[in-house]
Amino acid sequence: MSLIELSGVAKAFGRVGALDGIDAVVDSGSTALVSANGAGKTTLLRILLGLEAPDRGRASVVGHVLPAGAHAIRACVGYMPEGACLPSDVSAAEFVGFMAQLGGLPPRHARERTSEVLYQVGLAEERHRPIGGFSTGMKQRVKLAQALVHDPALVLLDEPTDGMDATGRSEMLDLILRVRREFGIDVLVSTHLLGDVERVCDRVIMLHAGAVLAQGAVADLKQNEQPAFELELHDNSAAVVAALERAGLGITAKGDGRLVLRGGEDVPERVRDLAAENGWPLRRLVPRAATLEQTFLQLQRIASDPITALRPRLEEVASL
Amino acid sequence: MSSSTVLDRGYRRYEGPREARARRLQTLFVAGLRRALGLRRTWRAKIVPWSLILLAFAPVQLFLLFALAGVENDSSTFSYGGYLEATTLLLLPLAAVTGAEIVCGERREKLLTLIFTRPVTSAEYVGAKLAVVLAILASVTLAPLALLFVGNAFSAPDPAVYLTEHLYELPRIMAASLVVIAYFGTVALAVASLFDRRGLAVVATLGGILVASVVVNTVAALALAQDSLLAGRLIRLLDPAALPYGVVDWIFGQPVEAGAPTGPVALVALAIYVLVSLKLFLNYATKAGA
Repeated sequence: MSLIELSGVAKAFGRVGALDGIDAVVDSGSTALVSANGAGKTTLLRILLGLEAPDRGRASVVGHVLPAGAHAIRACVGYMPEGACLPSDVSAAEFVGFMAQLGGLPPRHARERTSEVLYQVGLAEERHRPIGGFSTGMKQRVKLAQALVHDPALVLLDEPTDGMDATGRSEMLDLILRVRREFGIDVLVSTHLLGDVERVCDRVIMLHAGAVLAQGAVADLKQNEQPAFELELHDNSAAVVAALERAGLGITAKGDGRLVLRGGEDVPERVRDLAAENGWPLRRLVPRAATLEQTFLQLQRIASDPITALRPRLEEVASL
Repeated sequence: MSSSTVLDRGYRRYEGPREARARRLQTLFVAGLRRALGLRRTWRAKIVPWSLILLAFAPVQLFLLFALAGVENDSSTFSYGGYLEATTLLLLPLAAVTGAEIVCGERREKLLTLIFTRPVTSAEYVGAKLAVVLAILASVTLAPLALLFVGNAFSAPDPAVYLTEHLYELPRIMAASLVVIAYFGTVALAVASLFDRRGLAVVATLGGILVASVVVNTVAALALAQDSLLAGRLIRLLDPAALPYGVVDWIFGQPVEAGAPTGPVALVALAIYVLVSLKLFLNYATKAGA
């Protein structure tokens, strides 16, 4: 059984459509929910918690169908919201203990779990200090701790590295990895930072304009992109660029004097031949590692431009 | 050489008991009570609530001192209805402070977005907050009156006779206290739910009730001056400060003041105030959690 199943889930706020028929499946593991800001990630998370009712469609989380199963879902799912939501004049231990008891843990067990979880997120020493004096990174850890304290089967993390510096962000990503690998808790991370996704998630669901753009294993989606190569010549002049274009290569200038070439697996051979013919001193020609960001941007471009999106299909039809 | 070993403190899954709704309600109630009374917080957070609570017991303490000193009890000075009305001066600010303390901070810090990610409904949240306010307000109404009743009994020549003859006062005390605290408690919660800042909420609750009372009484006096008794009574139904005391007088069998609404009518008006206030507070909780 899948952890989350969504079928035709749609939600609008007045005339503004947030989600437009989401069909997605989330299996056990760590999954990312990716989109540009304001594309419906938080709305979808709130629907999964039963805090928002979808206008249409069917959703089930950890075997409980919404909306009837909302309470059961909230009892076994942890949620780390985006933005400020912590009391400033209460200690981390008191607040996380409070959230543990709201999750149904008896007071003694809540105290033990609070100590355990605050230790695991790296706040053992600071647990009795008021949260108001914490740094952004520490506050994010408190938010993660309260999401974990009732030992959920699944945690929903909404922009977990939001507002954090590079070190704090790296530590938070390590923590998320541990949540999945060591704690054995399934994770759904909502983010617009695709670098974070590549680091901590096995699978990804990409949203665009309220609909699913693509979903699957991170490694598979990265391979969707056409192979690219970075070229650096002694002189990347206009004449060189024109010659490469005449050879049918797609060219993108990187800005650091290098060119990114696309045109199939045989790009290195074609560039080698061109360089030999024209006497170009070749400095560097290496395959460019595909990133999820490139895939996402490419898919987003296709989705935003219906003509481009239809072209491969038209070519396919024409070839018949 | 030491034989001790360092054990890896890895994450352990929780396999203990999980409790149901009663635990969640108790948790919300206890957390609200702690906040309202300033428990586990600095001494500054304790000053206002505890001063008001202790002041509410001052008349009872005086009475007990008089009784111990053998001074004859003047029942008109310490009548239960009179005592309840006298505590209004403390009840209203205490309701305003308590409502603001348990609502505004959570509103400002958007804590409800987290609370409702647990299996807590907005009705349960409202119920727990209401229970906090009622418990604290009961401590300045019901508790002193109960003490006064016991004091009256023990200062009477025959306590057993006093208890038998005045037993009917107990349900009156309970009912009158409940009316007053339910009214001020729900109004304070509803007003507090409109503000992020505690100070503003307190000023709005106190100012709103007092200003409305002055305006309503002025208009009612004009109506009565024109011999329109019915209009005067209807207008005074809108007096948020005096309304509960019309009901209290009625419960204790006191004569209704000229131009004031009769007891049952005042009770209906008061019930409407309470229900509207609760609805406003519930709407706030539902929206804040959604």
